[in-house]
Order: sequence, then C-alpha cells, then structure tokens
Amino acid sequence: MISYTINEPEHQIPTLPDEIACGVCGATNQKTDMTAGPYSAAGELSFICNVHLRSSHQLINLLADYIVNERRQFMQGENFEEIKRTIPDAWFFY
Amino acid sequence: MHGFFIEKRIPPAGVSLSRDLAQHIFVRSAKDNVVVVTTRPQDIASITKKQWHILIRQVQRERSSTLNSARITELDNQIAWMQHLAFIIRRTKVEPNGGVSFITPDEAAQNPPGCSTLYLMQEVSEKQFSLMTSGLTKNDVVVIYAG
Repeated sequence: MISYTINEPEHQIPTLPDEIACGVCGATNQKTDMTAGPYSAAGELSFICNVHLRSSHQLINLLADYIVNERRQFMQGENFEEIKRTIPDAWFFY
Repeated sequence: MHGFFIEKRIPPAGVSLSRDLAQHIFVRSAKDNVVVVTTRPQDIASITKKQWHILIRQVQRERSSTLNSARITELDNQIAWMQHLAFIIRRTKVEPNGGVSFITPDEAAQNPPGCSTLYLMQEVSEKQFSLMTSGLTKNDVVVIYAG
C-alpha cells in the first residue's frame, strides 16, 4: 500500500482542501493519493495522482501533454510588460 | 515558515529509493534548484544519476513512438533538460544553477538552500528542519522520505 501525505506545517493555516484535482487527468483524489507535480501556468503547484506513477509510459506522455497545455495558457495569457517575477519561468520559453 | 508544502513519501513495493527520487525529480520538472539532503551524498548522487539515465531512455522511447507534434517538441525539451541536468555534490553554499545538489543535513542547516524542491532522505531534528527550510518560499515543496 502506497502511503503519501501532503501536509502544511502545523503553525500555518492549512489551505489545501482534503481532496484536490489531478493536474494531468482532472480526477479529484485525497491528498494522500497525490504527488507534487510541476508548476502550472499560474505558478501554482499542481498535483498528480499516484496511479500515474506506476506506468512510465503513461506518466511521460501525460506530463508532456500537461506542460504543452500550460505553456499554451502561459503564452496566451501573459502580459509581458507587467512581468514582476525576479526569476522568469524559463521553462515555458524555448 | 513561508507556505511551502510537505510531502511524505514511502516508495512503493519493488521501487528503490533512488528510482522513486529520480522519478519525483522528473515529475516536478523544476528547472531551478533541487536539493537532496542525505548523510551519504556521494552514494545517493551516484545511484540516482543512474536511475535518471534510465528515465532519459524511457522519455526518448516515448518521443520516438509518438506522432503528436506538440508532444514531440515538449519531449525534445524534456530530453534536453534531463541530459543537461547536473548532479552535484556540494560542500559550500548551493548556487542557483538549476542542478540537483546533494548535501549533508549539517551543510543544509548551516547554509539553508533556496530551491523549489528539497528532499530529505532521513529524519532530522526539528531545529535542523526549521533551519534548512528557512530559505524556501510559497509553492516550494519539501519531500520527506519516511521509514
């Protein structure tokens, strides 16, 4: 049995709901069944169902498709004149 | 504390620690610093790098088996990133170079790393944990390998 837990430090107010959506398949699962994934176009942390990690074939393709979609959103939605981040999300640029 | 997330992991049955670590680094796809805190930086770096190269070959196989042009482009990017990712055993302050640095708990506590993902390969004291995570910010991830 795989046992994963995602917690916030005790002295923080927990902000993650008990159930969160998988970034690559959209399914909603318990936090304990998820793995921290890549950042979204909005710079937020995404999560991936643990079940995807069992198959390298599935994982590699789902991850690639997810990043392609996020890049598309990033490039279409970003106002480049208002970028304030000190470190750009370089991985969204070729 | 700065809003980072903590993930506690136990590798599935039949999956080695180094393989799970390599896979998690791949899933995170973080193009900035990754830090692995371990009492055996040399050993862990060596075996993780081997698992990383196995992953590279798997990604290359997927790239050559797909006709989806967008996916091909992205897999090319990923392969390039994976091939150039440096596995470094640090003895001084972690510099922002986008590689995977392997340091001891004492080094991490003395020079808190700034990174998007911090992996703890064994238990550390609460004080050490507080010190080594003081450089993390919102949406950074701490992965603790339990057991």
